[in-house]
Amino acid sequence: MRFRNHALIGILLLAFISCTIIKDSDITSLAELNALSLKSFEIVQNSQVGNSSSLAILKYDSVVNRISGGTGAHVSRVVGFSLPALGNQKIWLRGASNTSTEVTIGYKDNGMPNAFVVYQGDSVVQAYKFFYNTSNQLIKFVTFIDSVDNKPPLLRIRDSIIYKGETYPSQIIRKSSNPSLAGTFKMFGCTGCSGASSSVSGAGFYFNQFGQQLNQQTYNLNYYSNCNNSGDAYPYSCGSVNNTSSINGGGGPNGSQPNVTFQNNFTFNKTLETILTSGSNTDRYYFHPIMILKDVVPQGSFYFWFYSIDWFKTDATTNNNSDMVKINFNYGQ
Amino acid sequence: MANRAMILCISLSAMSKICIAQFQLPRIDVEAKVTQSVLPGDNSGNYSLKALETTSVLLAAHWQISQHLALGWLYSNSFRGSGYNLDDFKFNFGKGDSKALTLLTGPDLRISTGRAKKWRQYLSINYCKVEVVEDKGSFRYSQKTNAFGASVGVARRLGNRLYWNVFEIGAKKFTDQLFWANTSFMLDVKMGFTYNLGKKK
Repeated sequence: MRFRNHALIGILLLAFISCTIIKDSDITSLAELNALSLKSFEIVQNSQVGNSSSLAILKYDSVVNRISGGTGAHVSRVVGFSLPALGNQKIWLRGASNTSTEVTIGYKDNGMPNAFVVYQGDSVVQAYKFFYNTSNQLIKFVTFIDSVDNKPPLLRIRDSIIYKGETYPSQIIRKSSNPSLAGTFKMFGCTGCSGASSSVSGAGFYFNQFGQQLNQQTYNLNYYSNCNNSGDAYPYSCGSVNNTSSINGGGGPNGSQPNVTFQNNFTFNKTLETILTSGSNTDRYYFHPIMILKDVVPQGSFYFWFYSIDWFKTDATTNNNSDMVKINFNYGQ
Repeated sequence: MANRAMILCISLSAMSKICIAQFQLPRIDVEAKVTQSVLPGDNSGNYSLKALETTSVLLAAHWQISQHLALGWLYSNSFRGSGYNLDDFKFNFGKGDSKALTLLTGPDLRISTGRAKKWRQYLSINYCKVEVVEDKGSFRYSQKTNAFGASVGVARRLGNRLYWNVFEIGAKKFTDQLFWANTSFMLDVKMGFTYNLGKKK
């Protein structure tokens, strides 16, 4: 009996020794983590009008050798995702019908995006071009929104980005085919923001004007570093827009409520999820390339912050809604 | 390396037991405990894993060399756990932004006070192979390392063979820090039971 006990214990111990919880697919070093690339992203929508989930899957990841006709840069890699129809809920695709599309991203030799093109069938419905200076800062971002069926182009925007020697821009000068969208976005250091990192020049900004997408109401774009889940490592990981207009549900300059909020969760410069919530059930987001490219564009979190709000359309009838769009990012080797 | 040491230790232990089985009654105890472990992370680091905590089942067996000294092996595997970033770590137990797993296994030396009517204090010193996994959803971080650890506890005698390990608190120092977090230290508290299979010692 006792010998059997010993044998049993010995067998159990040997079994324990051989046990492991580590899988072959686990990331065991930073080098392995850096080598991961985006394999798919899922756009989940939870809204009062319904829930949906659209999984964009990597279709190809090809090495190429060509000069971009749009930017003149050498393109060495092209990645394609198939994007299912997004539905007619919270996040829409400008220029495209509610149908499946294909997203193509061209990368320069240094790994930074050169162009982002959305195809619906064989038609280009969206095209974006990225231009950089010699310091690899984004200095120009060109947007071209077209629509299918031989209709005239919907929108052209050219954003020129001014840095004045700093890491983050001080101005974005917008030219557009829609004259009402043209103007200059000026950015100022946020004096009322708590926890702003002193290591980043002008860690908090707000915009003193906004475009047509926000119906030309007065909005403040606030940066709350204390809602940042990573300290100040990602200074633009979250933020909100306050409707400061007394029109359409805003509380006025001193009593406003967040009308849209967004938050990103990162790990080692990789976005794991992006969450957008809005205060009104009629609010609408438009899918923007920076939503999935902010990790590979220098100061990408800042531009995500800017363009997410820039492309946010609101009627601002309520500010107590919890409709949400979540983008989950899946990486692989 | 740790695995080889473990196998050697077990082999020697088993061989010695078999060899002297004719002359000496075995004195073995087995224990089962629930362990709550915490790996305190970084407050201000760039990637700021604030804390990682797991709840584990610990199984161990000891050969009682003498009344005060026992040498054995422990194995602990978590059945739940969470990782918490700076934002989530507000004592929202179990509501972290990631899942966490830990596994520990290694030799353990237990030094205890003598038999008493009720209470028996003990010190446990161990060297473990440690595996820590944080599941971020899209992928999992994992690290394998070793750790020196010690714990102190008190057991209450419930019968001739059964002890209740009322409370045990311990700490472990990893030989390497987790590559994704500034942490190389683990605290744990345990509670469970120990059962003597052999002759009292």
